[in-house]
Amino acid sequence: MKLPVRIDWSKFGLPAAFFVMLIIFTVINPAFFSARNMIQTTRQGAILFLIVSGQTFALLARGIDLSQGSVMSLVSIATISSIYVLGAYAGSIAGILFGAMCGFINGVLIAFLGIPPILATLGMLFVVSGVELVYTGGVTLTNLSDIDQGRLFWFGGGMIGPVPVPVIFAIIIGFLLYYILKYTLFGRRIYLIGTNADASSLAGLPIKRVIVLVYTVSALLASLGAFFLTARLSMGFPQLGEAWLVLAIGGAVLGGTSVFGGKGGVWEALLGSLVIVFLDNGLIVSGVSTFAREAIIGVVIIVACLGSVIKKRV
Amino acid sequence: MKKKTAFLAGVLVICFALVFSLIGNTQVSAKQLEIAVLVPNGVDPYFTAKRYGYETECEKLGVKMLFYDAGGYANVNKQIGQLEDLMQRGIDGIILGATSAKGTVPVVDKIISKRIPLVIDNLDSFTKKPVLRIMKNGVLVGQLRAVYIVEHLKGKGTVLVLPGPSAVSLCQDEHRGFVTYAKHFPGIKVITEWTPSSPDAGMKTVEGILQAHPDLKAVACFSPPLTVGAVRAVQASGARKGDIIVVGQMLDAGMETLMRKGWLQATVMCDHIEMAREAVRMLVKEIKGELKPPLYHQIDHYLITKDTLDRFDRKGSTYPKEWRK
Amino acid sequence: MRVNSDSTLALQRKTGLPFELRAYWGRYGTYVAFLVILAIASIVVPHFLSIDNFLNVLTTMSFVLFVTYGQTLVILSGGMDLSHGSLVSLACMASAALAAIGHPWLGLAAGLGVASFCGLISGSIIGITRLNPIITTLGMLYLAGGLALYFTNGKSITGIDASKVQDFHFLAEGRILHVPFVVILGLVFFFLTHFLLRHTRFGSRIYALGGNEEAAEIAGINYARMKILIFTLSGLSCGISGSLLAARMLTGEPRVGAGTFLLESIGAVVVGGNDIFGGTGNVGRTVIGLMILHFLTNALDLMGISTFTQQVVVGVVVLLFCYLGLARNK
Repeated sequence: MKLPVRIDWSKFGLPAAFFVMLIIFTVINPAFFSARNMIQTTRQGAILFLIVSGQTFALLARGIDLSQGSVMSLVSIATISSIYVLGAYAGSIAGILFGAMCGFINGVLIAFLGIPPILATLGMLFVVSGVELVYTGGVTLTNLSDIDQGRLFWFGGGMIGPVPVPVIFAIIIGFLLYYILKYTLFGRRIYLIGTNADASSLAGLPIKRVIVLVYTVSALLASLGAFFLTARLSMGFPQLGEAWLVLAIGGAVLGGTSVFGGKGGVWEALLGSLVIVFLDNGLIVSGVSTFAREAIIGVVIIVACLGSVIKKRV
Repeated sequence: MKKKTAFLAGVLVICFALVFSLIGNTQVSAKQLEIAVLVPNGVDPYFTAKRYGYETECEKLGVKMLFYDAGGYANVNKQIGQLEDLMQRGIDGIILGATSAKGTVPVVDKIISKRIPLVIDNLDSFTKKPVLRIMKNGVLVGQLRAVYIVEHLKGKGTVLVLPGPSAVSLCQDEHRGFVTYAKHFPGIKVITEWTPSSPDAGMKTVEGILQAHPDLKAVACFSPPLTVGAVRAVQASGARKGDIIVVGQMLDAGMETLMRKGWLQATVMCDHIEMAREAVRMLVKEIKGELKPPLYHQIDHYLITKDTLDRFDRKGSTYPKEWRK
Repeated sequence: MRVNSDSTLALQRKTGLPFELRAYWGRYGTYVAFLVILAIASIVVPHFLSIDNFLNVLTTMSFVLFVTYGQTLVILSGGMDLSHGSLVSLACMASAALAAIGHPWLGLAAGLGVASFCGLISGSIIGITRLNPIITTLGMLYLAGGLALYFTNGKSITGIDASKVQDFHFLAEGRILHVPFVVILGLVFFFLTHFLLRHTRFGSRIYALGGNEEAAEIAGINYARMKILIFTLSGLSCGISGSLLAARMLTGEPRVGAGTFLLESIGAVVVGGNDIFGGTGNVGRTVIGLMILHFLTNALDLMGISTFTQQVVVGVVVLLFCYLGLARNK
């Protein structure tokens, strides 16, 4: 069947599949498409989007950030601990900065000490999670004063009109990131580095500076994601980020960002994040057993990517 | 050439080891007893609290304590390695919280055959050989929750159970306890969701289930992280306090606040720190020959609600704020 | 990320070492550093330097070792296999399931077969459709992990009668002349893998693919066939680990691989000094990398250092290693 318009499936395959998935879940259980469910799920999607965007930056520059999970855990603890001392607002900023600092260290390790990103971030994964575990002794931090808790909670669980607060932040940040990647020198340098490291070094680009910034951004975005999650939960959980690293990488690559650098971006991050959270939520609402869920997610990931690849080759 | 150097170096090291193992492995025969405590998941606040119990009791009895953490319930292999390590190295006694009830049986059997005193604490290992045990009663815990919920729902309603990680036998016990009681009441519908014991998993699951079952009336949770996560989801759903009953296990500061405010209705408690102390006492007695296996010591469980919050004895389950490990 | 030659020269200028010494360090640095760790630990840590301790560490390590062999093959050929943890769990469950009904050797075959089959699927997808290995094996990670849980509803398989499966148990716990059987097995497979990589055409093709994929294909290497074979072998290596774990525990634990297996398998390959993008390295390096990780944590365990602090130390050591070994990256 020849369509009157040539559709680039590699671009629209995944979004189309996404909508089909939404339809299927709604058919199975109309409650899936309720306003409340959509709101809750987009809230989760906003958090994942931030983390995946961070990972995207690292991937675009031909690297990877394995420390995002540990950084999230650190930020969760650091934020609540800082709030104890500094109050809700200053404490939150302090917590996020702690996380960004880890990213800065990553960047320095990679750019100035020449350690390959996978190893630098792997080492930091151990160091950061070890440090925050030593600091907390594995204890969750839950004792916020009512005022602080109220203020903090707004960031994670509050709404502005019909839209959850994290989603608003995610949208603003998303646009910001898109602009950075597409229209600033920094952004274009990232793509250059990702596609051809040696050529750009010859062109006299300040690679080191860019790399440091890339990994700082990656950790900063993961920290923001962790912050909103911590705010939503109103507790510091020392292993918060554990499950999220795989989701971050998966979401980035699923959406279309290449692990070899140079290809991908904010749109891909958004797509990957939405697919993951809605798939997960849809399976819960549909009553699929936990165990079958994992297997189904695996199949969907493969099929989704296959779809775009095969269409391209056809 | 390079391979030869490396090979030679390796041989040298092994020679060193041979020589030293003959000389260097003499244990200083000290009057002080040395025991090892192995926990499956040290980052869980539950085990952090128990550590306080182990440490203070060891200090009191003048026993040296080595603490080993497997790093997660999945790391059975690592824990087996730690146990075999201890067997080789020589140790006066072992307290074990097993990562896997059945998976540790072969290595535990070996320990027992070597006559190393052993106390199995809290997370059971299903060895058939005689051994000292100090255990929670998982089935009872689950049942307590079920009884509370069924009574407050007057025998009718949809209940979500979050039993925690499926591979942990204690969670299976609690689940069984809950379900076998609840099934006597045809008006009670039980939904089970096995999740990791983390707050975001709890929150996400309750949110999703609330969508599929808007008539959800109660949630039963395995651990503090799951409990808090569940409450957050309940709060966000627009339900008023007490519309959805939440029953958890143990009590941390966050849970206590939630209970006082009315979002958490009940929790099943046990004196886990006292349990740890008792484990040490049992082990020392076994080492001294005063206590012989088999023995099954079951600790008490009790339900706490807002009413009894200020009246129950916290000594067995809390540690001072200054102690932070 | 390939560090460009600028920083190598910069380092030379910084450290003042002649380039040959830098190159020497690059090639042997990992081995030397490993021996240094052993030496320091022997002096500082009580009970470390003994045959029993070494054998013990090697035993626990052996169960992970097979997985790293497979990962080495995959990484050398330019890919990465993220599904290892789940494949180990799945193999463990399959072995245990058959062992529980009285057929342990069939169980062994099943464990090997199931894991290899998953590897086959991954490899086929990667080879034929050219889908990214990371996303494919990630999907397989979820798929296999979910399956390992699905058939028993998340419960362990516990029905194995120890008295009936003595031989099977021997695989994991037995000793020959005081040396654990698994260690011997690990050594055997080491030589097999080494031989495969260094002395067969298949091996040189792996290196070629890792070095320059396009050039390799132009030179006539069948991408699809290679990928299928490599990932099937990777799956097989997980199958060995999983089945051995089932033999060790006499239980099927559905999440047994979900712990540190993946981190260790990748970590060992890279800490040992193999290029993460493939093309250079060998399996000996991987073994050293894994030994570094295990002996280090063993030393820290014996010193009574808490697991949390251990993590920090391991991380710092990994970073230190890479920094010192970076002349290797050209």
